[in-house]
Amino acid sequence: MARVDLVKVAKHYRDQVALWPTDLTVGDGEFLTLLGPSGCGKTTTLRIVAGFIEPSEGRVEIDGEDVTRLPPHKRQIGNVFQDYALFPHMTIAENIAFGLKERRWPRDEIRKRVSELLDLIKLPAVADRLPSQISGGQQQRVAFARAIAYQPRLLLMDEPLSALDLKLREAMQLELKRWQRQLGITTIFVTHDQTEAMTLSDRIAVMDQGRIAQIGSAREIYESPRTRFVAEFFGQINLAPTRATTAGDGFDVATIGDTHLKARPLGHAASGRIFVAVRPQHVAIAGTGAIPDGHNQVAAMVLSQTYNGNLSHIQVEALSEIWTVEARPNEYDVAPGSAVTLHWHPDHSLLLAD
Amino acid sequence: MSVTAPLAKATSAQNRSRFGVLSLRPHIRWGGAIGWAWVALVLLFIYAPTLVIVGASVDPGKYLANRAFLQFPPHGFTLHWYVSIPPSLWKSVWISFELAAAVAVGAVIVGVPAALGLVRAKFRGRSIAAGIFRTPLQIPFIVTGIAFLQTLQWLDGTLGLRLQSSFSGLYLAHLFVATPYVISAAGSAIAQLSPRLDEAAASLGATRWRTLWRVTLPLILPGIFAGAMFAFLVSFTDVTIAVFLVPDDMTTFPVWVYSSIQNDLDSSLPALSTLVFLFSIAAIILLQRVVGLEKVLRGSGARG
Amino acid sequence: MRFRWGLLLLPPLALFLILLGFSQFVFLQSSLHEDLGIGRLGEAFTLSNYAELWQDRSYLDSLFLTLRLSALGVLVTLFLSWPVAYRLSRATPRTSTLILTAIVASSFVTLPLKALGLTILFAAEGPLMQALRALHLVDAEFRFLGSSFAVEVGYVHLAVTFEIMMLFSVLQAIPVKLEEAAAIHGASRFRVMWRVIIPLSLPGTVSASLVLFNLLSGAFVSAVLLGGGKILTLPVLIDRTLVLYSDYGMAATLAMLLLALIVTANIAAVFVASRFNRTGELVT
Repeated sequence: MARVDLVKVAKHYRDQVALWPTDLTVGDGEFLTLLGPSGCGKTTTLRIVAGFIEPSEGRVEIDGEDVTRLPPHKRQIGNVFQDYALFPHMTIAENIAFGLKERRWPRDEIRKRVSELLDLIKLPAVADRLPSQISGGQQQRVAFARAIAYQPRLLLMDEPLSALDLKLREAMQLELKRWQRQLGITTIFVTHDQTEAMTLSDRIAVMDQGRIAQIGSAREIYESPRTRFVAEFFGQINLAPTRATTAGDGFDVATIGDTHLKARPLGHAASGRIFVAVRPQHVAIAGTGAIPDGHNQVAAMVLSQTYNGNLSHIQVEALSEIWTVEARPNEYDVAPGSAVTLHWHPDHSLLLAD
Repeated sequence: MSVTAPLAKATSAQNRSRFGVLSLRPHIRWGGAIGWAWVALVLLFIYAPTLVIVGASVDPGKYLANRAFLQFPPHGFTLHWYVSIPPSLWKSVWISFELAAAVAVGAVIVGVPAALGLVRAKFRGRSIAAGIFRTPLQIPFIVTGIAFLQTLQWLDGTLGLRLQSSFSGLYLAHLFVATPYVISAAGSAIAQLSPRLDEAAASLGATRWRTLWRVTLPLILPGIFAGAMFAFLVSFTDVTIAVFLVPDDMTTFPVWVYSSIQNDLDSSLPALSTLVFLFSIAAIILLQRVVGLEKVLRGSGARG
Repeated sequence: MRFRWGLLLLPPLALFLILLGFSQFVFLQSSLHEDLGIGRLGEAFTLSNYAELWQDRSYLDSLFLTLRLSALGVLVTLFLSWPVAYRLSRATPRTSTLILTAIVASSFVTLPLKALGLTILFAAEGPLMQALRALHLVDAEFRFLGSSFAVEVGYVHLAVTFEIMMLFSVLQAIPVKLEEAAAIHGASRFRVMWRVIIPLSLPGTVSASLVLFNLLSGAFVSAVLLGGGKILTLPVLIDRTLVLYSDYGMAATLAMLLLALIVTANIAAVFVASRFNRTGELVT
């Protein structure tokens, strides 16, 4: 199992930059996800590691070996594609055995290994069927089995679950996680779905427009996003731009109009706009009781309320922005148009750079 | 008329046309019937001469000044012409067949690499190259025939060869006009392959050659086969080019028919032609079984 | 040497360039030399062959005859083929495959045989001609062989199979859903055709018709066998000049004329087609 290093890897085309010079290290046995919207460079990065794209600058090292110029068939990397790319003219068994046959494994060893893998992915009966004769979810599992058949040192997956419907997708996420732990194989996973990223990964690299915006565990990124993009991409968040911040005791104070809000300090110098941010589930609507001491308070007007099963979302207008308050279904009885006061603990407030 | 009314009609089961198209109004189905009548008429038109030949092959014939005169509809029934086909006629069929088979093989050998290069290589002059491969079909066959004839004569004259008395000129000319079909059929099959397949094979350890051999070629085999059939067909039925390039002592079947019609019509010609036609039907059925003509005919418009 | 897909292209391309170039060159050459009879050519470059094209009216007559017959042939074939292609494109795959297979099968029959069949079918004493005479569609002296009608019939036979297949692939690429959408909006069958299908299929139809025009302009067998020596289209003339008079120079020149006709027609059609924007409206 391998460690992957990207050193100043960049890719530009004639009229645009797909990837700015990027450094990235994936540890041995780690599950790293590249997360971001389409066009952010995550697939480009993955394909550079796979060897399907040649980087314009920088180098790729696997276990210390420079593989940048190595063609894909020599890199010993397993790949799972979004459309599975199973060979339509071969049976499932032949598909899984493809890499083994290329390595000239003896016939009975191949048979044994294929049968092992079919058991692992829980599809022992489909060995002699064609890809067109099994379902999408089954094809996905076969694609996985094929990729790991010869025990590659690295596994790359490009949105492999995107074509599946929600229930199946969630089930597969857990299976994938389990297999990856079991095999201990270093994995780089690409997705645009942040829930998926949070479920599967040891670390997540959030990418935006050809750069890594932030890299860390799901908890770190969710609770301490560094930029507005990362905060907005990862879950929902309420924002309000502020022009002035002053340092206080343990907190910074942001001024928006007449309101002063306390928030966790920015922690680094930032040019450009700064935002005050707080997650919907941390905001409460003041009721009949007193507002706790030290909480931030903001006047707001209720716009609407939506019901989402185990949660309810209330849209309000506050600080000239549209904010969302998350609550349990019948927690607040507020009519649209009514004036309310929002409050939250400063610990849950963040300052974010643009 | 309300917007929802047509929808309601559309989804009711009895409006689903027999022909698989969701009918929205009755007169669409009615229009369909006229369409089929037209198809039937055109098919009749297309097959009329062939049916005449088949019919004439069993006609005992009228003797007029010692020459058998065949007519349609047949005035009797006889298989006499079938058994009296002269061996030289059979030989011409065999020569046509051999030549066409050789042309088909050659067209595949030349055409498949060309198709791979055209579809997969990325370079500026790609459309020019594609255009060059299409020119044989844009130049009238008669022009190609004459041009090759004169070239052969020139080569014979200048280099002292005896190309004109061999089939090599005709073979090259047929290869010239038949290969574009292979390139087109194989090319569209190659274009329909997902690039992920090649990448998957590479990531599993296959070199480009191995990928070609194990993945690409098997998948485009139907397209190659269809192209080869068309190449065979072009060579087998060609008259215009063959008339100019056939060597003196041997001839192909279509050329024989051509000169026979103008000079002395051999009465067993319709019989032999019927046999050839039946053979062609068999070949088409084979093509359909192995390849599935839909793949060829639907080409890249098949999605959605 | 690194593997590049382009490398695969080189041997076939070389072969084709040689075949194409060589043959066209030798052939162009002979049109520029004076013919000395029996296939020999004079030493000097001369444009006398081309001059003769203008001087002798029969050559230009042949050119216009070819143009007329080919254009008419394209129109008739289009008229016959379009409904067939449309009907098949909207039929179930099984049915359309079956019928298309039958159509393809007919092209396995070599053209001289079809010509023979046509001559027998239209024999002067045969039932078909008798019926036509009884209906006063033809007069008593009309003979099929040697008429331009016969050549046209031959042309259409040649062209119809290709046209149906080409139009089929154009039409089946137009999704049925578009027609349904138009009909839901209240369009009658006719308007669906006129405003949806015809404009969308126009580019494909034009290019198919061009291919057909090329084909018919160069059509040799039908014109020779069915024209009875009286219908002298350019291909027939070329053949005669070569085979009967052994005038290689002039034959090559006439072939150049034929090529010129085809190239001009193609350019003109592309020009006209470019005046229509994507939805089939004329752009001025």
